[in-house]
Amino acid sequence: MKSETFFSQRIFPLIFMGAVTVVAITLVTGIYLLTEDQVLRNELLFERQAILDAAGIEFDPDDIERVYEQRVTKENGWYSVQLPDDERGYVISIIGAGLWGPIEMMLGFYEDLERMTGIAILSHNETPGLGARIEQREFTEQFRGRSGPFEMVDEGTAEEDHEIDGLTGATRTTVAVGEIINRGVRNAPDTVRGE
Amino acid sequence: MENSMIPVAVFFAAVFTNNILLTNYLGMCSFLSVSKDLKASYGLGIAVTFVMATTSAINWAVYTFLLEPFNLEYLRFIVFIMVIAAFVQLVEMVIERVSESLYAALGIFLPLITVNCAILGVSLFMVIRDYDLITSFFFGLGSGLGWFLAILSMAGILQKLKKARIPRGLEGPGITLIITGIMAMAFMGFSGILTIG
Amino acid sequence: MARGAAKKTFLKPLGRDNPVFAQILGICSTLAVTGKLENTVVMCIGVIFVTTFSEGTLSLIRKWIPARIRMMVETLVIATFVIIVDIVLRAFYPDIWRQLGPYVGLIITNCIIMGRAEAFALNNPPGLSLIDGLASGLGYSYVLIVIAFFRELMGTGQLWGVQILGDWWTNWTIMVMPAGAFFMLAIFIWVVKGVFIQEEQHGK
Repeated sequence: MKSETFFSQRIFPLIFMGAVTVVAITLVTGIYLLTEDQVLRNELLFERQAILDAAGIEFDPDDIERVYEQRVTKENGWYSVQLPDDERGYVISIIGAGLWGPIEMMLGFYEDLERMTGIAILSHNETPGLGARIEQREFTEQFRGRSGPFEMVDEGTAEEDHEIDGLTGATRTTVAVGEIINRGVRNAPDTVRGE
Repeated sequence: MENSMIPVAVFFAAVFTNNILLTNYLGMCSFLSVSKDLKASYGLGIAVTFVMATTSAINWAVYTFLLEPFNLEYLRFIVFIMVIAAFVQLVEMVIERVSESLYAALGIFLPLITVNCAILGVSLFMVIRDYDLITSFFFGLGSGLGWFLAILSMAGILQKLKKARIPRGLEGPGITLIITGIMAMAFMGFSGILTIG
Repeated sequence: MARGAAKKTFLKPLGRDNPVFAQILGICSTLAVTGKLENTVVMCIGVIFVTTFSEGTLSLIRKWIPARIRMMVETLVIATFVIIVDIVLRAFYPDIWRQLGPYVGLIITNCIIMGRAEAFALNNPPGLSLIDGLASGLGYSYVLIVIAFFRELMGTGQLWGVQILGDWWTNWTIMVMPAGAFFMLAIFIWVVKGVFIQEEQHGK
């Protein structure tokens, strides 16, 4: 019967584990480095897409770069946008506390900085299927063409112009999002025109 | 950026409104198999809570001091699961030495815990949501207790069901899943209890 | 003879030995994303990839793995492939990656993968292990895809993001929520077990 030496009992497992770990990490790091650039490019693209969405500009997913270059100028803390009917619009980014973590979004306005062109959610940590529904078109579309401040009401009951349908089962997320947007609406004139 | 996520709020949310199992689907395997036995559920629940709370703190430290400074965040999956496995191994060894009775009661659950998706899930969520150390700990503790609550309730309900007639196709996992669904709906009712600031 | 073994290995997990039905294993990570068919399919491809290649790799080195650290090695190998999936998704399908969130990482704790590794990969040659991995992954996938099909259709009236049901359909929002997922899985199991029980009774 093969005896179990100190080597085979203690040392070899360590060496084996170490070797496997090294191979694993090398493999993973290699793939990571190969894709690093692509990841950065994706993130930039995503942000630009959100800006276009918030401004209510239609675009072809393959065309984001071109449309962005054409219509958006990055200013100091906000974006100046050329809207479809040659009007001027503004997009600001805003971040606030959601239920589970920060919610980051883009708010788009017409030139009067009161009527909105739309909103786009950049990132959030809300509950899938519940609070996460804030990123859905059905929710974000409601802000198009309306002026804040907004009041979040029960899903399906919004009547007046300033009422927005909230999300069933995601009351706290809804309230949080409402507060963030209203804050953005309040501060928009200062951000863009003031200093 | 204001952060109104105080640890206590996160704690209560983790137990009730954002329950790791009933809202985030994690920890199902052991939940479904162990809930048949009330005593085992109790033991496993405690073990899970303990491991969850501690490993979330440890993983926070590892992430903040080891991974982030060297831009190694992408290795977090490997590192976290290794930390959890090592920690569970350590706990098992310590319990074995220290208390025979405790080991007899909890010992068998520990290997089960390593593959409990909820434990790794807590560490991953904590990273995504950018929690600080205290919040992470309370998040882990709350999630553990929430899971504990779910499995204990399930075990209790299953006990009562022993006398009931259940369609053959639904015996076992089928009926357990339906009860889980109903519990998930019930827990949804908790949202709105707490208002933060 | 090798041919026969390969075929048998492939068919087993797809039928009665389907890990999801037999032991309701490994559903945590994927059940979360079954709200949308597209996400589920991507997730399942990831699971199939990880299962196949980790079983293959583990089978290759099985003769050298020290008994004591067996589980850690398995975990390490599985985690490696999961990270690869995560990185690739992030680079080439960022929208889906964002929606899948932490659940990709949770494939590591998927009991099915670990279970098959222990039960099969460590005792069988690499060729068969690759096949077993593939089959287990597929068996797992079709259950989840069926669940996703119903959840997305009934919960949002859409399939793969395309509106299928018209205005006459009121969305069963419960389907979008966790409770709906649990119910769907329970019903699925009920139906399947019903079929198996019928077969038994007819002396199959």
